[in-house]
Amino acid sequence: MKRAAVAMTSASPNANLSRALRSVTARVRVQRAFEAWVLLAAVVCAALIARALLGGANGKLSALTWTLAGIGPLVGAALWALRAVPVLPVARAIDRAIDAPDLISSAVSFAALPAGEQTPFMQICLAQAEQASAQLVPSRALSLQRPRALPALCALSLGLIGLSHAPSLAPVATLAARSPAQPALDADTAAAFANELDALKTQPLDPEAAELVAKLNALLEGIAAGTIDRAQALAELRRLEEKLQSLLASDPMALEAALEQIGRALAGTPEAKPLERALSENWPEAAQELKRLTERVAAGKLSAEAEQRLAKSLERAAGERASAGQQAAIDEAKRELDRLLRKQDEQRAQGGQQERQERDERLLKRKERELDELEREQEQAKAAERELDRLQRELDAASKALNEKDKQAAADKLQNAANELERAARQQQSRKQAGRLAEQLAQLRAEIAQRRGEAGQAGQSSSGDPSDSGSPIPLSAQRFGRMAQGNPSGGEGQQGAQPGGAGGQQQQGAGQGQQPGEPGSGERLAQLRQGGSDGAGGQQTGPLEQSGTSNDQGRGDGAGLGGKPQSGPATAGSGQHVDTRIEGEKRGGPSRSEVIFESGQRGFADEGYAKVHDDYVRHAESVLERERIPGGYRYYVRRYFQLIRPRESARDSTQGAAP
Amino acid sequence: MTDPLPLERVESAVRKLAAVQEEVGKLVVGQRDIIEGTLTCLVTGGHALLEGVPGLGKTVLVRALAQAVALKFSRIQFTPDLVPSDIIGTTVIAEDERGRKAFTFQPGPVFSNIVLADEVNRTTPKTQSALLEAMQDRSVTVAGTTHMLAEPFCVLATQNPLEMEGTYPLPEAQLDRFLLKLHVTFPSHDDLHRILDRTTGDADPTVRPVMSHEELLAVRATVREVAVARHVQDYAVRLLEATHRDRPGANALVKRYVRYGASPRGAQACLLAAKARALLAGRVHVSVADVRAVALAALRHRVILSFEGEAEGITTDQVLTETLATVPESV
Repeated sequence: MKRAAVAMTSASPNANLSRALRSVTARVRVQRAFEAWVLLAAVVCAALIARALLGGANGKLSALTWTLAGIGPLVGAALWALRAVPVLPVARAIDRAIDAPDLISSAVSFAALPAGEQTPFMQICLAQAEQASAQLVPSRALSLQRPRALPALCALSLGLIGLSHAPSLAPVATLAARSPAQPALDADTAAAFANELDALKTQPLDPEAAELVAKLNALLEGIAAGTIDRAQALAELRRLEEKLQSLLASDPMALEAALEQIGRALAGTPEAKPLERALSENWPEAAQELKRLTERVAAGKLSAEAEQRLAKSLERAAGERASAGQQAAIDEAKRELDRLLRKQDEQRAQGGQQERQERDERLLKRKERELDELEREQEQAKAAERELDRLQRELDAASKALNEKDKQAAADKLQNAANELERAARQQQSRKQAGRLAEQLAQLRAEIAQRRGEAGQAGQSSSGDPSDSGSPIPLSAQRFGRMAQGNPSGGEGQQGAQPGGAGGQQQQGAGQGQQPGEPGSGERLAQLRQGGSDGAGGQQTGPLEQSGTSNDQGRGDGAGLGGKPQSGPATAGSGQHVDTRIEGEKRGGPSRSEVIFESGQRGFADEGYAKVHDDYVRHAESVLERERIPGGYRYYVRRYFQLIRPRESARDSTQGAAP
Repeated sequence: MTDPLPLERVESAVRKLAAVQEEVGKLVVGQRDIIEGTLTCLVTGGHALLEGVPGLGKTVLVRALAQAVALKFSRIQFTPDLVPSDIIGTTVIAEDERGRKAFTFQPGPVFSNIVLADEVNRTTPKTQSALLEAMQDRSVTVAGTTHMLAEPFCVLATQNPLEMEGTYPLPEAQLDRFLLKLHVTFPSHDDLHRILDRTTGDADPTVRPVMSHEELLAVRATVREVAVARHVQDYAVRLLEATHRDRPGANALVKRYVRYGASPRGAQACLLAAKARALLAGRVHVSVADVRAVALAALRHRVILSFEGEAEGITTDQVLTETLATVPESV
């Protein structure tokens, strides 16, 4: 057939036939190009829509995508059109157009033969074809058809245009090629974070914390205005978190513990009784109490005997070291570790049972972990001691002055100690604000990461974050939680106002058994995230202690939430919700570390351990839900918590204790 | 560029063939396909097997055709007691003017230009084979002497598809000798009226000879000159291949119900008949449509169904219709 085409183009007797073939071939190419362009454009539109919906592009890439989307179909169509067009279909199309069955196609075939092989009848056929093709109207032979993919292209184009103009779909904004940045959060979420930040700003702030708050506020405003994209937001968040690390150098809980020890050292002195109570509850109040005590000493209102008692108490307080008790525990743990190591070596030497060796190895590893934990706690305690060193020196000086009957000097030293206590109180407040700020940052980062499907990355970057132990909850879940409480305005809820209840463990009840408080939003959120419907208060463990009688605290009989969180509208506030204030007993139970330590020693059939275990399981589940963790690893995490679950006797006793 | 002589020959052939069709049409109402088919066989040197119930005008058609082309016509009514000599002739003792006796060959009815073999399936295979040998070799041998048949020689055999009792169906090898197998269908309502009008009145239409013996031979030559493009021939070949279950292009019906596909004679028949059809239409080239139009008649008796196909009541026409639908006209 190619030979036929060549022969016809060079042979003038077949000029009409050749022209007809060329014109129809050109139309075939045009039709091909049109078809290919429409099809490719439809594919490109579909790809752009998919990309927009999946949200994988940023602004720069979007511009490149648009360029490819524009040029690609054109190039593809041109290449497709330039492919060789077979002559026979073209000739048959002309045959159909002129209603001459196989005249042109036969003529094309005969023309391909050498002239000597052409029979007279073939020549007649060629002549007839030449004559017939002179009257050919190419459009009749091949009218340009509407491409089959045109409706699809129209639909996809409309969809693309609609998506690019939909303000609620953030990723599609990139398709407009005018928005260079990928929004990190929608405006509502950013505003909600800003509200959270406003609540923080209402309190007096440490200058460094105030600066961080201002920066975070500026970041949120930038996100809300769309001037800061996701990558920039995450980078800025990292910078803020690094600065927060300096504010969170020492553990506020360790500092509280150290001060409480100082307070306990003052016990037994009636003159210092208010000071002792205030030290464990309210440091500014403690500073005021110390000033009042100073005034009494300066005014000579204390008897000589009282002054002697006070001097001894102050001396004890000055010599109190929070890490001393921990050092004993560490020493004991080291001895236990050495004993186990020796035992293991002996067993190996004697070729003991493998099962027993493995058990001992497990025990050894557990002891090593416990030792590490104790050492870490001791480090924190020492850091707290360093911060309180000046206070203790002033107390020591005051004690000596009292012993020397130098009331004025003692008053001056006590005044200095009061000032130092005020400074420590301010710093403590600042640390707690920094802690809350760290939570805000972690929540913000988690929210951004979740929205962009980068929870895994966020999880990695937050692994070393001290605030991460607070399990930042996505803000959307927080808002839902507030709505479920009938408080859609997004306030803080009735969070415990005490220092121990406000900071840190957001998943736990904010109120503390040892202090009057109401169930805070964190506790309710924990319930929501578990989809629990029993309204159980869970663990109201405070930062330092767990009250043995605090199980009932924070218990509400309203709501009755079921199913997964975020899966339905806000629960109406018509539930029989009753807020209950229950006084917890101070220092009524062991600390969390003590509970775990004792469980390791005596086994897991312990009521306190059961409560701690539930707390840990909830936390682990929330992390499993939030983070991108491979399925196989999820199994091991869950299996681990199954293996360390408390024995049924402990659980029964715990549940039985709850009304 | 164009040789006027071939063109004139073509035009002459077209005129003559049209005249023959018109003359035959005086006696035969409708049945244009049958007329065209028999004429095709006549101008291509082939034979036709006409299948249809009695009374549809098969004999009238053949007789009218013979009259229109001014050829010698003979009719043989095949019966079970017919012997080969009844068809091909025999030697008889003849006495000359001097009283001498000698064996002389007495030609049978097969020695005609157009032979109507009526109900060919009612005679024994031996007699059938005698006719079929004549059809193939265009000669008969009697008593060691071969006698050539006249040219043109065309056998138009008929058979009744209904009364199968006491018949001897033609074997496949013999069916293959027929160029076309034509199904004579029942006339339409209007055609029946026209038949009654013509045959029950006082009119007595007669058929004039419009084509001489020589002219017929010239038309035969012209038919063979009709040009066939490669893609048309390729279509005929692909069509033939598609009737074979083990060849590419075979459809599901062929693969399931066909035991043997058409022989190469089928493609020859297709192309020859298509050439004749093209010439009848006044064209000097064969189109794919011509091949498609003659494919059924040329191939239906060459496709052998399997036992399953026959048991299922499948006809070769169904198989071929499906094949025509599935084989693309161009690749």
